[in-house]
Amino acid sequence: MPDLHDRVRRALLDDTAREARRHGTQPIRERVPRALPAYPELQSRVRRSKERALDSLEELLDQAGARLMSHGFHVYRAVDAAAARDYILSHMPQSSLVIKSKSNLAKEIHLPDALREAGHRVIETDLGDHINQLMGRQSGHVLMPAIGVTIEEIQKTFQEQFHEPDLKPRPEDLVASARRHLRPLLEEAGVGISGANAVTATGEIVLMENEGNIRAVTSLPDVHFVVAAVTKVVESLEDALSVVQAASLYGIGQDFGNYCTVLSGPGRDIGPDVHVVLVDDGRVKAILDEPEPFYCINCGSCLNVCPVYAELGEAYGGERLGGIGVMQTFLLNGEERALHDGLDLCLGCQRCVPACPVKIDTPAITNRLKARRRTIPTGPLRQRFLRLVHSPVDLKRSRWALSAAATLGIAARWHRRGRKAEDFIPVPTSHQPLPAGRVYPGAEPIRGSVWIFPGCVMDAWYSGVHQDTIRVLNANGYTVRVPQQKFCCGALDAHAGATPLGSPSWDTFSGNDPIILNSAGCGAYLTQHPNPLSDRVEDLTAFLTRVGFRAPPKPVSGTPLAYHNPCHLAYAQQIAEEPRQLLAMAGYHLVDVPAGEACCGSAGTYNLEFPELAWNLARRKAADLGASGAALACTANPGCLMQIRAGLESLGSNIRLEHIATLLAHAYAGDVS
Amino acid sequence: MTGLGWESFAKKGITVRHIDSPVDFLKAWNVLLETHFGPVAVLNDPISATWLDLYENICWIPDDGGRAEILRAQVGFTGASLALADTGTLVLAEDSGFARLVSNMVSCHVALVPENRLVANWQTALQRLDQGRSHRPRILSFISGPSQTADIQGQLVRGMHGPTAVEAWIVPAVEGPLTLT
Ligand code: SF4
Ligand code: SF4
Repeated sequence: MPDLHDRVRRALLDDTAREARRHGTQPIRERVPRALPAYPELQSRVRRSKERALDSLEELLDQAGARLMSHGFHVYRAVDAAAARDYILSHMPQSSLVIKSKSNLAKEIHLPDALREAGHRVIETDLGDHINQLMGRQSGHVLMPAIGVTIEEIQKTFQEQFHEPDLKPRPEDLVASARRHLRPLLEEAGVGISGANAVTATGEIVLMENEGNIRAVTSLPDVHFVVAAVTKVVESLEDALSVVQAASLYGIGQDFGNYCTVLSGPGRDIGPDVHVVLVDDGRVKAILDEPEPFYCINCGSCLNVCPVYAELGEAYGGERLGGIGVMQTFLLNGEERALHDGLDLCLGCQRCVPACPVKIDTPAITNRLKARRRTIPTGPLRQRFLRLVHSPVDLKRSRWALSAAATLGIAARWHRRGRKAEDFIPVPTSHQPLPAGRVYPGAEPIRGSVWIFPGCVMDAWYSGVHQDTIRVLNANGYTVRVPQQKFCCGALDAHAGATPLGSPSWDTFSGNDPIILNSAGCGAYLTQHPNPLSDRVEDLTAFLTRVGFRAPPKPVSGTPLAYHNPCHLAYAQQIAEEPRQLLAMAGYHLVDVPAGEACCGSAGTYNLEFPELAWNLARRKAADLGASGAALACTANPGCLMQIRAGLESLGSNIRLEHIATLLAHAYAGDVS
Repeated sequence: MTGLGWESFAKKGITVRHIDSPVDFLKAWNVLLETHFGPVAVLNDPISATWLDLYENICWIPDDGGRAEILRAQVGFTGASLALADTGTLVLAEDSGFARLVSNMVSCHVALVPENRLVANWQTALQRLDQGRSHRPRILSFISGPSQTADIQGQLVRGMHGPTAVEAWIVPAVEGPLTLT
C-alpha cells in the first residue's frame, strides 16, 4: 500500500468517492439517534458483557469448544492465520466452488487468496463485497464495503461482467441483476464460509445480516466453515443477541437486523457439516496488554461519524479500517504497521466514543499507544510548536510577531493564498497576557469566587478572550482570580503522543474554588485525565448554566448567530445545549448550520501534521457557516477559533467569528454591532 | 396477548393478514397467488398442516420433496414459532434445517403465526423457548422483513438474496411445542 501521506493526498483529491461516502453514511447518521432511545440499557449491557468475556477468555473458549462439539460442530482453535488456512484447506474437496459471506477476519488471514491459490473458486456473496470483487477494489467500510463506488461504476461493471448491456443505473435493477447472477452460484456451491457476530460459551453461533446471503451460505453447501476471532466469544445467547442488536442499532439504525441466525447445531435432516474455526492470531496476548480495542463488535458506527474517515475513506487504515482498526493493528501487528495505516490520523475529536455500542474510547487508547512508541515521527513544525507552548518567553515573543503579521495584513493574505494549514497564522487579540495573581472582583450581589485557567496558547494569543471570560463571570457575581503560575494542560503533548515537559504546578490553584476554562480542548483533557484538578475544572458555559446565568440587563436584539460547538465540548464533555441556551438568553438568534456537528480539523496540533486534511475540514466548516446566512459566528475553543478564522479568510468570507465569551461579554456591555 | 400489537411487522415491510376461518385463508391464498404465481412449498409443521391440509398442488417438505423442490418454489409456507412485537420479527425454531431453506430460498415467504405466539421481544422469546427444555432448537431464524441491501449508494432496495416479499398470516391460537420440525 502506498505511503501514508501519499494515500492521504490522493484520497483528498477524490471528491466523487467522498460524496458517495457521504451519501451512504448520511441516512445512517440520521436514523441512529432516532432508533437508540428505545434501548437505553443496551450500550452498558454490551460493554459489560464484552468486558466479562475478555476477562475470562481462556475459560470461555474452553467451554465454548466443548459445548459446540457436543452440539455436533467440528471445532478447531487456530493459533495463527496459517493454521486456520491449513485447517480449512485440508477439510474441503478439490476445486470447490466456495460461497463466502462478509468476514473481516477471513480477509485478515488472507483466506480468499489462499483458497484461490489452492485452485478453488471463491464468490463473495454480500452485494457490496461482490461489487468490490468484480471491480478488484478494497473494501471501503466494514458494513458497506462498496461505499464510495458510484452507481455508474456499478452499472458499467455489471453490464460487462454479467453480460447485461441494457442494465440501467437504477439500484433496483442492479440489485435484481446481481440476484439473478448470484443465485445459481449459491445453489451450486459445495463450500460456504461465513464469519460470526458472536460465539457463545453455551455453544451457539450467532449471525446477523440483511441480505439473506449468510442464510444461504450457511445452509446450501455441503460444508460450512465459520471463521471467527476468539474475541467473538461471549458468555450466553442473551449476550450474543444483545451484541447483534447493538451492532444493528448503532451500525445502521435498525432495531434488529433483517435476519438473525442462531446455530445450536447443524440441521438434523438437511444442511452442511459445520466447522467452527476460532482464530487467535495474537489476540489472547494482545488483550492482556490492552483489551478495549477487542471489545469492538464491528458495527461500523465509528466510521460513520468520523471526520477523518469522511475525508479519507479506506485510506484511513489498512486491512482494518478507521481509528479502531489502526489500534487493533498496533496491538496485533506492531507499531510500524499502525503508523503506516494512520496512527496519527485520529483527530482526537471523540465523536466516535458515544457513537460506539461498546463505548470504546478510540482517541484515548490512540493517545496511550502513541505515547508508547519508540520514535515520535512528529514533523519539525509540530515539535517547534510543542516547545513553544511550554515556554512563556517564546510564547510572548510569538504574540508580538503574530500581532505584527496581522496588523500588516500578512495573515489575511496568507490565508487567502494558503492551501495548507501550515500557512495558518493565528491572529492574536491585542491584549497582554493576564497578570499573574490578579483578582477581578465580581459585581454585587457577589455569589462566590472562581479561578480562571490561563493555559498556554490561550493566554499568549487570546488573552482578550480571557478578559471577556472574566467580565462575564464578574457580571454573574463571581470574583475571578488569576493564578501565580500558568501552564499548559498537557493535551497538545498527549495528542502528539509526547510526554509533557516538566510537571505542572497544580497547587497554584489553592483552595476549593471552581477552575473555569474557556478552551474546550483543555477542559476535555483536564476532566478526562486524572490530575489533582479534575474535579474542580469546569467549562465556562457549563458553570454558568449550573449556577444559573444572570442574563444581561439589555440583551442583544436578535442578531443572527451561527454557533459551532467544538468536538471537545460536544463529544468529550457532553456539553451541547448549554452554550446555545446562554447565547439565546443573551439575546442572539441562533441559526441552523449545515453539518453543524462536523469537526473543523483543528484538534491539537493536527493541522501541523496533516495540513491538507486539516485545511479541507476548515474550509468545509467555513463554507457551512457561510451557508447559514449569519454574519456573526462563534465557537468555544481557541483551536477551532484559529482554524475556522483561517478557513473563513481563505474563502474571502466576511463572517466574523468570535469566542462565546466575547459575545456574552459584548451582550453585557450592550455594544454588539 | 395484552398490550402487544402487530404494527411493527408492517413497518418492517411484512404484509400482515388476519385469518379467522378457512374462508379467510382461502381468500388470502387467492390474493397471494395472483402476485406470486408458481410452485408452492409448504413446511410440514403442526401449524401449516392444520391450515393447508386440504390444498392441492403444493409440495410438502420433506414428505413430497427436499432441496430441489424448495429451490424451484416461488412461494414457501412455514409456521412461526414466535413473533416479537417490538422489532416486528418472526421466529422459526427447528431441528431439521428445512424451515430455514423454505423461508429463505423462495420469492415469497408466508409465515403462519398463531396469535398466542406474539411476545414482547427476543428476551421473552428466549425464555419461552427454554421453558421445559434442556436443549435449544438447533436452528433459530429471526426474520424481520424481506431481504434487503443498501450497498448501492446507501439506498435501501428489497429482495437481494432472500425473499422479496414476506407475509405474516395471523391464525387462531395453536398450543403445543414451539419447535416447527
Ligand atoms: S476521535 Fe474523531 S478522528 Fe479519532 S477516530 Fe474518533 S471520530 Fe475519528
Ligand atoms: S469501535 Fe465501536 S463503533 Fe467502531 S466498529 Fe467497533 S463497535 Fe462499532
